Amino acid sequence: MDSLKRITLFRIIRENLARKPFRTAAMIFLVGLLTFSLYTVSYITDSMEKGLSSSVEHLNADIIVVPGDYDGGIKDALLLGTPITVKFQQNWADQVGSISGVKEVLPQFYVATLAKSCCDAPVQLIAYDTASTYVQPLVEEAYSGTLGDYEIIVGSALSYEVGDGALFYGERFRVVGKMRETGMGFDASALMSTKTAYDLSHTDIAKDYFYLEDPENMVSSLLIRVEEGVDSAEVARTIRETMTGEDVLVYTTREFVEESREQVRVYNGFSTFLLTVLYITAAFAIIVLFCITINERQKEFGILSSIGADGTKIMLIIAGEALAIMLLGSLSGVGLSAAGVHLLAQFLKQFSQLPLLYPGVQTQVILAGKCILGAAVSVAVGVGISCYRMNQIQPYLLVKENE
Amino acid sequence: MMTLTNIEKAYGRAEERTEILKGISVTVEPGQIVSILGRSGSGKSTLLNIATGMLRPTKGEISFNGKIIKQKKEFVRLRSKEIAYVWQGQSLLHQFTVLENICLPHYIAGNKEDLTEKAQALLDELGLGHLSDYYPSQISGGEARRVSVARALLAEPSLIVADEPTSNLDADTAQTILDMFCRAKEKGIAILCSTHDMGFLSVSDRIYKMTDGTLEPYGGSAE
Ligand SMILES: Nc1ncnc2c1ncn2[C@@H]1O[C@H](COP(=O)(O)OP(=O)(O)O)[C@@H](O)[C@H]1O
Ligand SMILES: [Mg+2]
Repeated sequence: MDSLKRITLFRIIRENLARKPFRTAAMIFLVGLLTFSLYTVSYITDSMEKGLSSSVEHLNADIIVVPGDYDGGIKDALLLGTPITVKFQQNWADQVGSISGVKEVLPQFYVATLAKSCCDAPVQLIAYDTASTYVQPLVEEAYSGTLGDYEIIVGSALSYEVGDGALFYGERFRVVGKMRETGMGFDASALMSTKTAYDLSHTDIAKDYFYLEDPENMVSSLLIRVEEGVDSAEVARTIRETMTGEDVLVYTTREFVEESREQVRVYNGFSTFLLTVLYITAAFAIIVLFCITINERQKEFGILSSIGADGTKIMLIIAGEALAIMLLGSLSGVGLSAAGVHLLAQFLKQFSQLPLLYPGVQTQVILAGKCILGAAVSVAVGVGISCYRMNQIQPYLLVKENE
Repeated sequence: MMTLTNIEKAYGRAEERTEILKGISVTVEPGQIVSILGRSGSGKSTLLNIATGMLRPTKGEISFNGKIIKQKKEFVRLRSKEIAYVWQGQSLLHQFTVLENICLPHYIAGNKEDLTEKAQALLDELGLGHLSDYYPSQISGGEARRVSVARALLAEPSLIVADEPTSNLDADTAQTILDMFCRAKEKGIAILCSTHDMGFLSVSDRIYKMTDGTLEPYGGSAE
């Protein structure tokens, strides 16, 4: 007979959990399910909100003008990164630039690359006037120089690094900068100068897809900033009036993302409802399950009391078991959820049709903490009620049933 | 050692109220066996539960070594240090082996010393040595009863309270348990038990009979 270790409270807790694997697993599962759902729902909600505010921030415009025919396409390109080629050759930049209240205008031109051997991948190429004073902080941050011929700045989702070569329409490009993640269309885009776009349109392969006659007349959309203190809605109205007859749509940035905002709002309402219902039911289930199991185990605690375990020790045992279940359950719940959303990140973007910006590590830790805290509260309530009820009962009644 | 004075116990309220114990007084001294006889349902278990603090009396006083014990806490401390209770039903913890079960009170009381060898020796002595690694679900009812008695003995209490320790057991097993109690008595341990067992009566210092909620001395061996 090998020497037996001293039986500590810790050991009692361990045996209690290990000798009833099904019961223990069921409780861990329930806590895990709660934290899994809480984490998943709040993670996605957070991603949507961040994606939306990031879109507004990185569009960095007060007003956006797009050709009427390409309305939805440009939204998808800018917000979701679905590549589009906008063949619309007309220059409204000067016309708009002269409207009072307009401070700066940045014309952009969109070319989708092809899923063919001439191109590395279908990517949204965006050409803009590199000489413009309308500076996009996101771009500036990625590359502070001026883009030369066939130089591009790539979005975070593209698999290039600075210094890499890229192949579009059979031409070689050089990556000189990489933008940080925005959750919106820029992540799947590459930026080049208007001159590069014009040159490209005259190469062998590209000319069959888009042929530009005049570099001045390549405008797929206008980003507009208004003068300080001027109401952008007011300016947008003036632009609309000035451009009657032209097939263009004029949006304030707020209007531009309105559909997404509406979707996020709907989802938010739904997820708040879901989280509340989920939390209440799961917390209730956890509390009830705790009370039931502890109640069923009255005899066990009555025995402990009969051999001299005081209320504090019994409470420590119950609380210790609960803590172990809580930690195992919530950590695996949060862990599985984090792994799941990570693996499904791309899918979620496509499925939601919304710009999603996934939370960073710090936010994830805070979210996880909140979920674990949520589970801990319900477990603590369960333990509290069980211990209180048990304390009310005389030990004799705890052991009575079998006599 | 332990004195119960004018213990009353009633269950229920108002019309449903039934008085089970109607003023019971009994004393146990070190090295004595005090036995209580009585029909089933007469209130023996109720009295022993009150004596060990597992149940609060409606009235009456319990004193241990001259000190009146009232609070739940004080009773728990007594059960952890002075009183071992062998109750009628199954009283082993399912998640521990026989050997661990009998050591448990020792560790619960906060002792650190390893009791394994001593416990194993006691089990061997009681003919239970082969069961030490078994779990309670793997042993018979009679074996479990003997193990609970072994647990009480190992704790080296000053008082053992036992509720019908030999009922429903075969003669041999009953005899073993009786021997165990006699040995405890010789060590100066006080024993308060309820029983129907004639064997017990023969080794008892005092015998009482419980009728209608009162205790009366029983037969010749009573004082
Ligand atoms: N919790 C209880 N509530 C009401 N009556 C009880 C309770 N426990 C025991 N009794 C009653 O008290 C009486 C004595 O029971 P008990 O002390 O177990 O008798 P004994 O051990 O002598 O067989 C019985 O009639 C029983 O029905
Ligand atoms: Mg009884």
